[in-house]
Amino acid sequence: MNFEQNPKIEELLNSYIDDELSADERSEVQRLVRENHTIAQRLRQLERCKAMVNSLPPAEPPAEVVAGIKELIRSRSAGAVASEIEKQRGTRHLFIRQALAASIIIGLVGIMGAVVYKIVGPEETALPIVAVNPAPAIKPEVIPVETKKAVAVAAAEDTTSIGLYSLQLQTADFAAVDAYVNKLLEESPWLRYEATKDQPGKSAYRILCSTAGLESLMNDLATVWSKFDSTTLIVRTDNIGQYVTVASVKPEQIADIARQNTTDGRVKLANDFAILNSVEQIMPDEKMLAATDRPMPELTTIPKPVLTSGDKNAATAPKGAWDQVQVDLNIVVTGHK
Amino acid sequence: MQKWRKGDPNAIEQLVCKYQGRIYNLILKICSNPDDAAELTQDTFVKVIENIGKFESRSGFYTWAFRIAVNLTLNYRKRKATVGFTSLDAELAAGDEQVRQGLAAILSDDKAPDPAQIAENRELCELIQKGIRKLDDEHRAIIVLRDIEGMDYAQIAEVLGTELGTVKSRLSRARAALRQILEAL
Repeated sequence: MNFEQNPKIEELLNSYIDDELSADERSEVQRLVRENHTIAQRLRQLERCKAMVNSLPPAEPPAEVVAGIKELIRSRSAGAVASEIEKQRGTRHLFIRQALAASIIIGLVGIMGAVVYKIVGPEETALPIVAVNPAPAIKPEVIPVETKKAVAVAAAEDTTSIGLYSLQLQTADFAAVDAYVNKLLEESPWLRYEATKDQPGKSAYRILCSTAGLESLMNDLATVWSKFDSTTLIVRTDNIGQYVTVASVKPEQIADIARQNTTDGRVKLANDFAILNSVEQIMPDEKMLAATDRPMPELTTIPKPVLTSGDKNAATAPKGAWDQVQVDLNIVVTGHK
Repeated sequence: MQKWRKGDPNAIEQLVCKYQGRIYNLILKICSNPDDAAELTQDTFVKVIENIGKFESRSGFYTWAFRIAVNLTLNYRKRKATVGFTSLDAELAAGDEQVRQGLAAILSDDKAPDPAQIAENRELCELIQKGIRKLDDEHRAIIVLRDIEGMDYAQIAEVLGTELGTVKSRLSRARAALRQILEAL
């Protein structure tokens, strides 16, 4: 038999000696071996050849293999660590460059925004806008310097004078209301005032009086307060050019603010009134009862206004009206345009 | 293996000590050079350790590690062949005549050979090893895997990355070639 021409028989014999045949295949091989002497001889050759190879003694690995493996792992790990460090360094460098570029871009955008705002934005107002105060920023009306010079120089030089700055009142019935205010000031000898009426539908009064005199004046103005559509008090702060605006201000609130001994006290109370008034506008039915009926340390205690009689004699000077001139207030009454 | 996977630093040494013998012998039988075998054994273990996460326990560790070792060795042999591999013919020609007769007797004798007797005969072992070296790399690898390492056909197919039928036919051709080489010595 030529095994080179029948490779499948040789494969079968190899599988037989390797015990890789099924029972049927083994039986078939055993039958072939019994019947064919050449196949039997080849089977024995294969078995001997396999046995010879299998008899080869194993070689002993050199002792330095373990040390070599450890060294290889150490060097590769060090290389990997160095590579990782380089990678991180590169990443960090890239991050710094990106952050720098982002900062420059943000800065440029900010500058461009400022330039654009300067061009198209609204005109700057000298008044600060209290965040919770919904009233629009109103430019304080200032009595002309010439008029100021004409009145109460003593008050202007008085270092203790309270600069409430401006009370701006807007009414639809300008003529009647202004006439009332004008008459009220004329009949209040405990205060000094200067009236400026250089524009139709607008009257400006600079008033110099004591806190008690201002309280009396506010009580008198309260009788026509409902005639005003808008009442805004602008209070000066210690910082030049900074003001607190109290919208929907009430006469008693003005008296209370004026009664504070320090600018800080006046500013703080003005801020509190601004907040209270804005909340009242949002929730007109709630008023501020819930907030004021129970003691809340974080809220400013609002002193009750001292109301005076509505039919008091205007010519009667309130107690202490002339003790010292303390209040310097501009009252501006305007009608609707 | 579990210790190594859990990060035990001493596990590397234990792993190498446990498996290096078989892996070194496998590589040595294929590449026929102790120095190359030592180096390739180191490379095999480094690759094993680096890829230990990819080892799936369903296949035996030896099967997985042997595949790495055989691939590294055969690739190394291919690279070396391109730069001029030394033929073994000259070495075979220098064999002892008495040893040759002993080998011929074993091959032609109807009695089964005694493995202990062969192992004790250093010259005979050397002659058989020379015969194995004369095989081409693929035949040598499959002979070593089956007849020295005792792997079954399925394991050999996994190590070599071939079909089971290919293993059968290749092993058959490899044994036939070895028999012819040994008979010719």
